[in-house]
Amino acid sequence: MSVPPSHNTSGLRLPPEVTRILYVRNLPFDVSANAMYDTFGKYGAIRQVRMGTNAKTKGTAYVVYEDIYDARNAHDGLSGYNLAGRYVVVTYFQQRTPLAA
Amino acid sequence: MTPEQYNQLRHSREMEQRNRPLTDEELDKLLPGDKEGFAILPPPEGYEPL
Repeated sequence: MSVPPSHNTSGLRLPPEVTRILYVRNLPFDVSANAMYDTFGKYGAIRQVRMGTNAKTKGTAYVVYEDIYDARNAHDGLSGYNLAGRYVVVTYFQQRTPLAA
Repeated sequence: MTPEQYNQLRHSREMEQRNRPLTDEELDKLLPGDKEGFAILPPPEGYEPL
C-alpha cells in the first residue's frame, strides 16, 4: 500500500481529539457510494468508508482518511454541509480501545 | 538545539506516529463491523485517491 505523500504535513501539531476517522450523522439513507466518495474525497485520499446498515445505524457512517490533516480539513469544511437535502453532522471518532502497539 | 527546535521535533514525531498508515486489522479493531451494523462501502470504480 503506497503511502501518499502527506502533502500538507506542516508538522503542525493537531489537538489530541483530531483523528483521521470522522463519524458522520444525518446522512440520507439512500446516499450512494459516488456521493460519499465525491463529497468526502474532495478533501483527500479516503482509506475506508463504513456505512450504517441496520435500523439503529442507518444514516451514519465512519469515513477514514489516509492523512490526518485531510480529515481535519474535511471536518471543518463539511460540518453542516447539505448532502442531498440533509445537513450532515461531522465529528471526530475517538478511539476507545488503544491501538495495538 | 533550542527548546523550540526540540519541541518542533517532538511534535512532528508525534504527528508522524498519529499519521502512520492504518492496516485493515487495525481498522477492524477500531471500528464497528457487520455485527454492530456497519458495512464497508466499496469505492466506486474509477475512484482514485487525490
